Amino acid sequence: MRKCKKIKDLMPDALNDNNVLPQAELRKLREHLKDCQRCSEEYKKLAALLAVMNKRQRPQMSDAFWENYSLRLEEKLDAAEEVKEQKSPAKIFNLIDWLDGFDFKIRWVLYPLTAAAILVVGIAIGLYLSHQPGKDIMNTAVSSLRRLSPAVAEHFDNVLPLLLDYSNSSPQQTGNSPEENILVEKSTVKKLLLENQLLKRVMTKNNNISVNELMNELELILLELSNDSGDSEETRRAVQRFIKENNVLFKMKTLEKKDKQTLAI
Amino acid sequence: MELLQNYELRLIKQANQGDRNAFREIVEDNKKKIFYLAFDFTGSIQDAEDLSQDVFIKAFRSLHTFKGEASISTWLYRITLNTFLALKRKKSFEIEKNQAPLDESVSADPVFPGNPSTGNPETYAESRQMQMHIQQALDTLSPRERSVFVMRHYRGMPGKTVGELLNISEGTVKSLLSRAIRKMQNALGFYRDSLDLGMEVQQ
Ligand SMILES: [Zn+2]
Repeated sequence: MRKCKKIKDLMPDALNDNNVLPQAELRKLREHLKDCQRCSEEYKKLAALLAVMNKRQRPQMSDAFWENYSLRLEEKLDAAEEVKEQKSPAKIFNLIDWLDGFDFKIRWVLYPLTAAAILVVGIAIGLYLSHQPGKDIMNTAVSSLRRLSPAVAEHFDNVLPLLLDYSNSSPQQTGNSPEENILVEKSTVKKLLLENQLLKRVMTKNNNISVNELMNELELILLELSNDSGDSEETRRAVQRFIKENNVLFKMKTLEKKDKQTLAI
Repeated sequence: MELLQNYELRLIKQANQGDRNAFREIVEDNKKKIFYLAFDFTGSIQDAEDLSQDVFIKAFRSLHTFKGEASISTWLYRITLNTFLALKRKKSFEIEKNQAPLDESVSADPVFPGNPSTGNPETYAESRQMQMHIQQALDTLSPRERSVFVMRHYRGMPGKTVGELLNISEGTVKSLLSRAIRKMQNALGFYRDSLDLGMEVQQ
Protein backbone atom coordinates (compact mmCIF):
# COMPACT_ATOMS: atom_id res chain seq x y z
CA MET A 1 0.00 0.00 0.00
CA ARG A 2 2.70 2.38 1.02
CA LYS A 3 4.65 1.28 -1.98
CA CYS A 4 1.71 2.17 -4.24
CA LYS A 5 1.78 5.73 -2.97
CA LYS A 6 5.46 6.01 -3.80
CA ILE A 7 4.90 4.55 -7.22
CA LYS A 8 2.06 6.94 -7.89
CA ASP A 9 4.39 9.85 -7.23
CA LEU A 10 6.75 8.57 -9.90
CA MET A 11 4.11 8.32 -12.58
CA PRO A 12 3.98 11.89 -13.86
CA ASP A 13 7.75 11.92 -14.26
CA ALA A 14 7.70 8.56 -15.98
CA LEU A 15 5.32 10.03 -18.51
CA ASN A 16 7.29 13.21 -18.96
CA ASP A 17 8.78 13.80 -22.37
CA ASN A 18 11.82 15.42 -20.85
CA ASN A 19 13.29 12.15 -19.49
CA VAL A 20 13.25 13.41 -15.97
CA LEU A 21 12.97 10.08 -14.20
CA PRO A 22 16.22 8.21 -13.55
CA GLN A 23 16.41 4.77 -15.13
CA ALA A 24 16.48 2.98 -11.80
CA GLU A 25 13.22 4.58 -10.71
CA LEU A 26 11.66 3.84 -14.05
CA ARG A 27 12.54 0.14 -13.67
CA LYS A 28 11.07 0.11 -10.19
CA LEU A 29 7.85 1.58 -11.54
CA ARG A 30 7.56 -0.92 -14.35
CA GLU A 31 8.21 -3.83 -12.04
CA HIS A 32 5.46 -2.63 -9.77
CA LEU A 33 2.96 -2.07 -12.57
CA LYS A 34 3.35 -5.70 -13.65
CA ASP A 35 2.16 -6.91 -10.27
CA CYS A 36 -0.27 -4.19 -9.24
CA GLN A 37 -3.54 -3.99 -11.09
CA ARG A 38 -4.63 -0.79 -9.40
CA CYS A 39 -1.50 1.17 -10.13
CA SER A 40 -1.51 -0.15 -13.66
CA GLU A 41 -5.01 1.23 -14.19
CA GLU A 42 -3.99 4.47 -12.61
CA TYR A 43 -1.01 4.68 -14.87
CA LYS A 44 -3.09 4.15 -18.00
CA LYS A 45 -5.53 6.81 -16.95
CA LEU A 46 -2.73 9.25 -16.35
CA ALA A 47 -1.05 8.39 -19.63
CA ALA A 48 -4.31 9.06 -21.46
CA LEU A 49 -4.70 12.43 -19.80
CA LEU A 50 -1.14 13.52 -20.43
CA ALA A 51 -1.36 12.35 -24.03
CA VAL A 52 -4.19 14.81 -24.49
CA MET A 53 -2.42 17.57 -22.61
CA ASN A 54 0.68 17.01 -24.72
CA LYS A 55 -1.33 17.87 -27.80
CA ARG A 56 -1.50 21.42 -26.58
CA GLN A 57 -0.41 23.78 -29.31
CA ARG A 58 1.38 27.01 -28.76
CA PRO A 59 1.13 29.90 -31.16
CA GLN A 60 4.08 30.35 -33.43
CA MET A 61 4.83 34.01 -33.43
CA SER A 62 6.33 35.59 -36.49
CA ASP A 63 9.83 37.06 -36.68
CA ALA A 64 8.21 40.47 -36.88
CA PHE A 65 6.41 39.78 -33.64
CA TRP A 66 9.66 38.97 -31.87
CA GLU A 67 11.39 41.97 -33.28
CA ASN A 68 8.55 44.23 -32.22
CA TYR A 69 8.40 42.48 -28.89
CA SER A 70 11.76 43.92 -27.99
CA LEU A 71 10.77 47.36 -29.25
CA ARG A 72 7.55 47.31 -27.27
CA LEU A 73 9.50 46.36 -24.19
CA GLU A 74 11.97 49.19 -24.72
CA GLU A 75 9.13 51.64 -25.03
CA LYS A 76 7.68 50.44 -21.77
CA LEU A 77 11.07 50.74 -20.11
CA ASP A 78 11.46 54.26 -21.47
CA ALA A 79 8.00 55.13 -20.25
CA ALA A 80 8.81 53.76 -16.81
CA GLU A 81 12.00 55.81 -16.73
CA GLU A 82 10.12 58.91 -17.82
CA VAL A 83 7.58 58.53 -15.07
CA LYS A 84 10.46 58.37 -12.65
CA GLU A 85 11.97 61.52 -14.12
CA GLN A 86 8.68 63.37 -14.15
CA LYS A 87 8.40 62.86 -10.45
CA SER A 88 11.30 65.25 -9.99
CA PRO A 89 9.83 68.72 -9.36
CA ALA A 90 10.20 72.06 -11.12
CA LYS A 91 10.09 70.63 -14.59
CA ILE A 92 7.24 72.63 -15.98
CA PHE A 93 8.31 75.90 -14.34
CA ASN A 94 5.58 78.48 -14.34
CA LEU A 95 3.73 77.43 -17.44
CA ILE A 96 0.70 76.24 -15.57
CA ASP A 97 0.37 79.62 -13.88
CA TRP A 98 0.84 81.34 -17.17
CA LEU A 99 -1.83 79.19 -18.73
CA ASP A 100 -4.25 79.78 -15.91
CA GLY A 101 -4.23 83.42 -16.85
CA PHE A 102 -6.31 82.55 -19.89
CA ASP A 103 -10.01 82.08 -20.17
CA PHE A 104 -11.20 78.58 -19.57
CA LYS A 105 -12.28 78.19 -23.14
CA ILE A 106 -8.91 79.09 -24.49
CA ARG A 107 -7.07 76.99 -22.00
CA TRP A 108 -8.30 73.73 -23.37
CA VAL A 109 -6.41 74.48 -26.51
CA LEU A 110 -3.39 75.94 -24.84
CA TYR A 111 -2.83 73.11 -22.42
CA PRO A 112 -2.47 70.47 -25.08
CA LEU A 113 -0.49 72.74 -27.32
CA THR A 114 1.82 73.66 -24.50
CA ALA A 115 2.29 70.05 -23.60
CA ALA A 116 3.00 69.26 -27.22
CA ALA A 117 5.42 72.16 -27.43
CA ILE A 118 7.25 71.04 -24.30
CA LEU A 119 7.48 67.59 -25.76
CA VAL A 120 8.81 68.90 -29.03
CA VAL A 121 11.42 71.06 -27.33
CA GLY A 122 12.44 68.14 -25.15
CA ILE A 123 12.88 65.85 -28.09
CA ALA A 124 14.67 68.52 -30.08
CA ILE A 125 17.13 69.04 -27.24
CA GLY A 126 17.51 65.30 -27.01
CA LEU A 127 18.27 65.07 -30.68
CA TYR A 128 20.70 67.93 -30.48
CA LEU A 129 22.56 66.39 -27.59
CA SER A 130 22.55 62.98 -29.18
CA HIS A 131 24.71 64.30 -31.96
CA GLN A 132 27.36 65.05 -29.40
CA PRO A 133 29.36 62.03 -28.41
CA GLY A 134 29.08 60.65 -24.91
CA LYS A 135 25.74 62.12 -23.95
CA ASP A 136 24.05 58.99 -22.71
CA ILE A 137 21.56 60.78 -20.54
CA MET A 138 19.47 61.80 -23.47
CA ASN A 139 19.35 58.31 -24.90
CA THR A 140 15.83 57.69 -23.72
CA ALA A 141 14.33 60.74 -25.39
CA VAL A 142 16.07 60.00 -28.63
CA SER A 143 15.46 56.30 -28.67
CA SER A 144 11.79 56.80 -27.94
CA LEU A 145 11.63 59.05 -30.95
CA ARG A 146 13.42 56.57 -33.10
CA ARG A 147 10.75 54.06 -32.30
CA LEU A 148 7.82 56.10 -33.40
CA SER A 149 6.03 53.51 -35.43
CA PRO A 150 5.72 54.29 -39.15
CA ALA A 151 1.96 54.53 -38.75
CA VAL A 152 2.26 57.15 -36.04
CA ALA A 153 4.89 59.09 -37.94
CA GLU A 154 2.62 59.10 -40.96
CA HIS A 155 -0.24 60.28 -38.83
CA PHE A 156 1.86 63.16 -37.55
CA ASP A 157 2.69 63.96 -41.16
CA ASN A 158 -1.01 64.20 -41.84
CA VAL A 159 -1.86 66.32 -38.84
CA LEU A 160 0.93 68.85 -39.20
CA PRO A 161 -0.33 70.41 -42.48
CA LEU A 162 -3.72 70.80 -40.91
CA LEU A 163 -2.30 72.65 -37.95
CA LEU A 164 -0.28 74.73 -40.39
CA ASP A 165 -3.38 75.61 -42.36
CA TYR A 166 -5.20 76.40 -39.22
CA SER A 167 -2.58 78.70 -37.81
CA ASN A 168 -1.95 80.46 -41.10
CA SER A 169 -5.57 81.16 -41.85
CA SER A 170 -6.52 84.80 -41.50
CA PRO A 171 -9.15 86.11 -39.12
CA GLN A 172 -12.69 85.71 -40.28
CA GLN A 173 -13.87 89.08 -41.37
CA THR A 174 -16.98 89.87 -43.25
CA GLY A 175 -14.93 91.74 -45.81
CA ASN A 176 -12.80 88.77 -46.67
CA SER A 177 -13.48 86.59 -49.64
CA PRO A 178 -14.68 83.05 -48.86
CA GLU A 179 -11.27 81.65 -49.86
CA GLU A 180 -9.56 83.74 -47.23
CA ASN A 181 -11.99 82.57 -44.63
CA ILE A 182 -11.44 78.96 -45.44
CA LEU A 183 -10.64 76.89 -42.44
CA VAL A 184 -9.65 73.31 -42.21
CA GLU A 185 -12.02 70.93 -43.93
CA LYS A 186 -14.34 69.32 -41.41
CA SER A 187 -14.19 66.00 -43.21
CA THR A 188 -10.41 66.02 -43.07
CA VAL A 189 -10.49 66.82 -39.40
CA LYS A 190 -12.91 63.98 -38.79
CA LYS A 191 -10.79 61.57 -40.76
CA LEU A 192 -7.70 62.57 -38.80
CA LEU A 193 -9.62 62.34 -35.58
CA LEU A 194 -10.65 58.80 -36.39
CA GLU A 195 -7.12 57.93 -37.40
CA ASN A 196 -5.88 59.40 -34.16
CA GLN A 197 -8.36 57.42 -32.11
CA LEU A 198 -7.59 54.18 -33.87
CA LEU A 199 -3.86 54.64 -33.49
CA LYS A 200 -4.30 55.52 -29.89
CA ARG A 201 -6.20 52.35 -29.29
CA VAL A 202 -3.53 50.31 -30.96
CA MET A 203 -0.78 51.99 -29.01
CA THR A 204 -2.41 52.27 -25.62
CA LYS A 205 -0.33 49.69 -23.90
CA ASN A 206 2.93 49.82 -25.69
CA ASN A 207 3.92 53.25 -26.66
CA ASN A 208 5.85 55.54 -24.48
CA ILE A 209 4.06 58.04 -22.37
CA SER A 210 5.08 61.17 -24.23
CA VAL A 211 3.78 59.89 -27.54
CA ASN A 212 0.60 58.74 -25.88
CA GLU A 213 0.16 62.13 -24.29
CA LEU A 214 0.74 63.84 -27.58
CA MET A 215 -1.88 61.63 -29.17
CA ASN A 216 -4.32 62.49 -26.42
CA GLU A 217 -3.66 66.12 -26.97
CA LEU A 218 -4.00 65.90 -30.70
CA GLU A 219 -7.28 64.16 -30.15
CA LEU A 220 -8.52 67.03 -28.04
CA ILE A 221 -7.53 69.54 -30.68
CA LEU A 222 -9.06 67.53 -33.49
CA LEU A 223 -12.21 66.95 -31.49
CA GLU A 224 -12.59 70.63 -30.90
CA LEU A 225 -11.84 71.52 -34.49
CA SER A 226 -14.46 69.06 -35.67
CA ASN A 227 -17.03 70.73 -33.45
CA ASP A 228 -19.19 73.51 -34.73
CA SER A 229 -17.41 75.97 -32.45
CA GLY A 230 -14.09 74.84 -33.82
CA ASP A 231 -13.69 77.80 -36.07
CA SER A 232 -14.67 80.38 -33.52
CA GLU A 233 -12.58 83.49 -33.75
CA GLU A 234 -11.61 83.46 -30.11
CA THR A 235 -10.16 80.00 -30.21
CA ARG A 236 -8.35 80.64 -33.41
CA ARG A 237 -6.67 83.80 -32.29
CA ALA A 238 -5.46 82.29 -29.05
CA VAL A 239 -4.05 79.30 -30.85
CA GLN A 240 -2.40 81.39 -33.51
CA ARG A 241 -0.77 83.66 -30.99
CA PHE A 242 0.42 80.76 -28.98
CA ILE A 243 1.85 79.03 -32.01
CA LYS A 244 3.69 82.14 -33.07
CA GLU A 245 5.05 83.03 -29.68
CA ASN A 246 6.39 79.59 -29.11
CA ASN A 247 7.65 78.74 -32.55
CA VAL A 248 5.51 75.65 -32.44
CA LEU A 249 5.40 75.11 -36.15
CA PHE A 250 9.10 75.53 -36.57
CA LYS A 251 9.73 72.99 -33.89
CA MET A 252 7.20 70.58 -35.30
CA LYS A 253 8.81 70.76 -38.70
CA THR A 254 12.19 70.18 -37.16
CA LEU A 255 10.83 67.23 -35.30
CA GLU A 256 9.28 65.86 -38.42
CA LYS A 257 12.51 66.14 -40.32
CA LYS A 258 14.56 64.64 -37.53
CA ASP A 259 11.95 62.01 -37.13
CA LYS A 260 12.28 60.93 -40.74
CA GLN A 261 16.02 60.81 -40.47
CA THR A 262 15.95 58.65 -37.41
CA LEU A 263 13.24 56.45 -38.82
CA ALA A 264 15.39 55.84 -41.83
CA ILE A 265 18.17 54.40 -39.74
CA MET B 1 28.87 25.69 -17.48
CA GLU B 2 31.53 27.80 -15.82
CA LEU B 3 31.79 29.88 -18.96
CA LEU B 4 28.06 30.36 -19.20
CA GLN B 5 27.92 31.55 -15.63
CA ASN B 6 30.69 34.03 -16.20
CA TYR B 7 28.93 35.29 -19.27
CA GLU B 8 25.69 35.76 -17.36
CA LEU B 9 27.35 37.45 -14.42
CA ARG B 10 29.11 39.83 -16.77
CA LEU B 11 25.84 40.62 -18.52
CA ILE B 12 24.07 41.29 -15.25
CA LYS B 13 26.93 43.43 -14.02
CA GLN B 14 26.94 45.54 -17.16
CA ALA B 15 23.17 45.84 -17.24
CA ASN B 16 23.20 46.82 -13.61
CA GLN B 17 25.63 49.60 -14.40
CA GLY B 18 23.08 51.01 -16.78
CA ASP B 19 24.26 49.31 -19.96
CA ARG B 20 21.03 48.98 -21.94
CA ASN B 21 22.73 46.74 -24.50
CA ALA B 22 23.63 44.21 -21.85
CA PHE B 23 20.04 44.16 -20.73
CA ARG B 24 18.91 43.81 -24.34
CA GLU B 25 21.09 40.75 -24.61
CA ILE B 26 19.38 39.26 -21.58
CA VAL B 27 16.01 39.96 -23.17
CA GLU B 28 17.01 38.46 -26.51
CA ASP B 29 18.35 35.34 -24.83
CA ASN B 30 15.20 34.79 -22.82
CA LYS B 31 12.20 36.43 -24.43
CA LYS B 32 10.85 33.33 -26.14
CA LYS B 33 11.28 31.16 -23.07
CA ILE B 34 9.54 33.66 -20.84
CA PHE B 35 6.81 34.48 -23.33
CA TYR B 36 5.89 30.83 -23.77
CA LEU B 37 6.03 30.18 -20.06
CA ALA B 38 3.68 33.12 -19.61
CA PHE B 39 1.52 31.71 -22.38
CA ASP B 40 1.27 28.38 -20.58
CA PHE B 41 0.36 30.18 -17.38
CA THR B 42 -2.24 32.48 -18.87
CA GLY B 43 -3.44 30.78 -22.04
CA SER B 44 -3.69 33.91 -24.14
CA ILE B 45 -1.25 35.71 -26.38
CA GLN B 46 -2.15 39.15 -25.09
CA ASP B 47 -1.78 38.07 -21.47
CA ALA B 48 1.45 36.31 -22.28
CA GLU B 49 2.72 39.52 -23.84
CA ASP B 50 1.68 41.63 -20.87
CA LEU B 51 2.94 39.21 -18.27
CA SER B 52 6.26 38.51 -19.94
CA GLN B 53 6.96 42.17 -20.55
CA ASP B 54 6.15 42.93 -16.93
CA VAL B 55 8.67 40.29 -16.02
CA PHE B 56 11.43 41.98 -17.99
CA ILE B 57 10.56 45.38 -16.58
CA LYS B 58 10.72 43.97 -13.07
CA ALA B 59 13.95 42.23 -13.91
CA PHE B 60 15.40 45.48 -15.20
CA ARG B 61 14.52 47.21 -11.97
CA SER B 62 15.87 44.49 -9.75
CA LEU B 63 19.08 43.72 -11.57
CA HIS B 64 20.96 44.63 -8.42
CA THR B 65 19.28 41.80 -6.54
CA PHE B 66 20.63 39.14 -8.88
CA LYS B 67 23.42 37.41 -7.04
CA GLY B 68 24.20 34.66 -9.46
CA GLU B 69 23.23 31.65 -7.34
CA ALA B 70 20.82 30.69 -10.08
CA SER B 71 20.96 31.14 -13.82
CA ILE B 72 19.38 34.19 -15.36
CA SER B 73 16.55 32.13 -16.77
CA THR B 74 15.77 30.59 -13.38
CA TRP B 75 15.75 34.06 -11.93
CA LEU B 76 13.37 35.17 -14.69
CA TYR B 77 11.21 32.07 -14.12
CA ARG B 78 10.86 33.06 -10.52
CA ILE B 79 9.82 36.59 -11.44
CA THR B 80 7.35 35.21 -14.00
CA LEU B 81 5.84 32.92 -11.44
CA ASN B 82 5.58 35.58 -8.77
CA THR B 83 4.12 38.11 -11.16
CA PHE B 84 1.59 35.61 -12.44
CA LEU B 85 0.50 34.59 -8.95
CA ALA B 86 0.33 38.20 -7.80
CA LEU B 87 -1.82 39.09 -10.79
CA LYS B 88 -4.15 36.24 -10.04
CA ARG B 89 -4.29 37.24 -6.40
CA LYS B 90 -5.31 40.72 -7.31
CA LYS B 91 -7.89 39.22 -9.64
CA SER B 92 -7.42 42.21 -11.83
CA PHE B 93 -6.22 40.08 -14.67
CA GLU B 94 -9.60 39.31 -16.12
CA ILE B 95 -10.76 42.90 -15.94
CA GLU B 96 -7.59 44.11 -17.54
CA LYS B 97 -7.85 41.51 -20.23
CA ASN B 98 -11.28 42.68 -21.21
CA GLN B 99 -10.32 46.32 -21.32
CA ALA B 100 -6.99 46.12 -23.01
CA PRO B 101 -7.19 46.39 -26.77
CA LEU B 102 -4.98 44.06 -28.68
CA ASP B 103 -1.90 45.61 -30.11
CA GLU B 104 -1.80 45.46 -33.87
CA SER B 105 1.31 43.40 -34.01
CA VAL B 106 0.22 41.14 -31.19
CA SER B 107 -3.02 40.17 -32.81
CA ALA B 108 -1.23 39.53 -36.08
CA ASP B 109 -2.58 36.10 -36.76
CA PRO B 110 -0.31 33.67 -35.00
CA VAL B 111 0.25 30.58 -37.04
CA PHE B 112 -0.94 27.57 -35.15
CA PRO B 113 0.15 24.23 -36.41
CA GLY B 114 -3.00 22.83 -37.95
CA ASN B 115 -4.02 26.14 -39.41
CA PRO B 116 -6.94 25.67 -41.83
CA SER B 117 -4.87 26.86 -44.74
CA THR B 118 -2.32 24.12 -44.25
CA GLY B 119 -4.30 21.08 -43.16
CA ASN B 120 -7.56 19.50 -44.02
CA PRO B 121 -10.53 21.34 -42.50
CA GLU B 122 -11.90 18.41 -40.54
CA THR B 123 -8.65 17.68 -38.77
CA TYR B 124 -8.33 21.35 -38.13
CA ALA B 125 -11.79 21.62 -36.59
CA GLU B 126 -11.12 18.54 -34.52
CA SER B 127 -7.84 19.88 -33.31
CA ARG B 128 -9.36 23.29 -32.58
CA GLN B 129 -11.92 21.59 -30.44
CA MET B 130 -9.31 19.62 -28.61
CA GLN B 131 -7.30 22.80 -28.04
CA MET B 132 -10.39 24.33 -26.52
CA HIS B 133 -10.87 21.35 -24.21
CA ILE B 134 -7.24 21.42 -23.16
CA GLN B 135 -7.54 25.09 -22.41
CA GLN B 136 -10.69 24.50 -20.38
CA ALA B 137 -8.99 21.74 -18.43
CA LEU B 138 -6.08 24.05 -17.62
CA ASP B 139 -8.52 26.74 -16.60
CA THR B 140 -10.02 24.51 -13.93
CA LEU B 141 -6.70 24.64 -12.07
CA SER B 142 -5.84 27.11 -9.38
CA PRO B 143 -2.92 29.39 -10.26
CA ARG B 144 -0.57 27.36 -8.10
CA GLU B 145 -1.75 24.02 -9.43
CA ARG B 146 -1.41 25.35 -12.93
CA SER B 147 2.08 26.68 -12.44
CA VAL B 148 3.18 23.42 -10.87
CA PHE B 149 1.74 21.42 -13.75
CA VAL B 150 3.25 23.71 -16.36
CA MET B 151 6.68 23.69 -14.80
CA ARG B 152 6.75 20.02 -13.86
CA HIS B 153 5.09 18.50 -16.90
CA TYR B 154 5.53 20.94 -19.76
CA ARG B 155 8.96 22.16 -18.70
CA GLY B 156 10.21 18.99 -17.05
CA MET B 157 11.56 20.93 -14.07
CA PRO B 158 12.50 18.82 -11.04
CA GLY B 159 10.06 18.99 -8.14
CA LYS B 160 12.82 20.37 -5.98
CA THR B 161 13.36 23.35 -8.29
CA VAL B 162 9.65 24.03 -8.56
CA GLY B 163 9.39 23.93 -4.79
CA GLU B 164 12.21 26.42 -4.48
CA LEU B 165 10.63 28.73 -7.03
CA LEU B 166 7.31 28.62 -5.20
CA ASN B 167 8.82 28.61 -1.72
CA ILE B 168 7.05 25.39 -0.86
CA SER B 169 8.24 21.90 0.05
CA GLU B 170 8.74 19.18 -2.51
CA GLY B 171 5.87 17.32 -0.84
CA THR B 172 3.53 20.22 -1.46
CA VAL B 173 4.62 20.31 -5.09
CA LYS B 174 3.67 16.64 -5.35
CA SER B 175 0.24 17.14 -3.87
CA LEU B 176 -0.42 20.20 -6.01
CA LEU B 177 0.54 18.17 -9.05
CA SER B 178 -1.73 15.27 -8.21
CA ARG B 179 -4.57 17.65 -7.44
CA ALA B 180 -4.04 19.29 -10.82
CA ILE B 181 -4.04 15.90 -12.51
CA ARG B 182 -7.24 14.84 -10.79
CA LYS B 183 -9.00 18.04 -11.81
CA MET B 184 -7.92 17.69 -15.42
CA GLN B 185 -8.94 14.05 -15.48
CA ASN B 186 -12.40 15.13 -14.45
CA ALA B 187 -12.46 17.84 -17.07
CA LEU B 188 -11.18 15.61 -19.87
CA GLY B 189 -12.76 12.33 -18.82
CA PHE B 190 -14.61 12.04 -22.10
CA TYR B 191 -11.34 11.65 -23.98
CA ARG B 192 -10.33 8.63 -21.99
CA ASP B 193 -12.00 5.96 -24.05
CA SER B 194 -10.73 7.23 -27.34
CA LEU B 195 -7.21 7.62 -26.06
CA ASP B 196 -7.03 4.51 -23.91
CA LEU B 197 -6.39 2.37 -26.96
CA GLY B 198 -2.76 1.74 -27.56
CA MET B 199 -1.84 3.23 -24.23
CA GLU B 200 -0.64 -0.06 -22.80
CA VAL B 201 2.18 0.24 -20.36
CA GLN B 202 5.41 -0.02 -22.22
CA GLN B 203 7.31 -2.94 -20.79
ZN1 LIG C 1 0.34 -0.42 -6.67
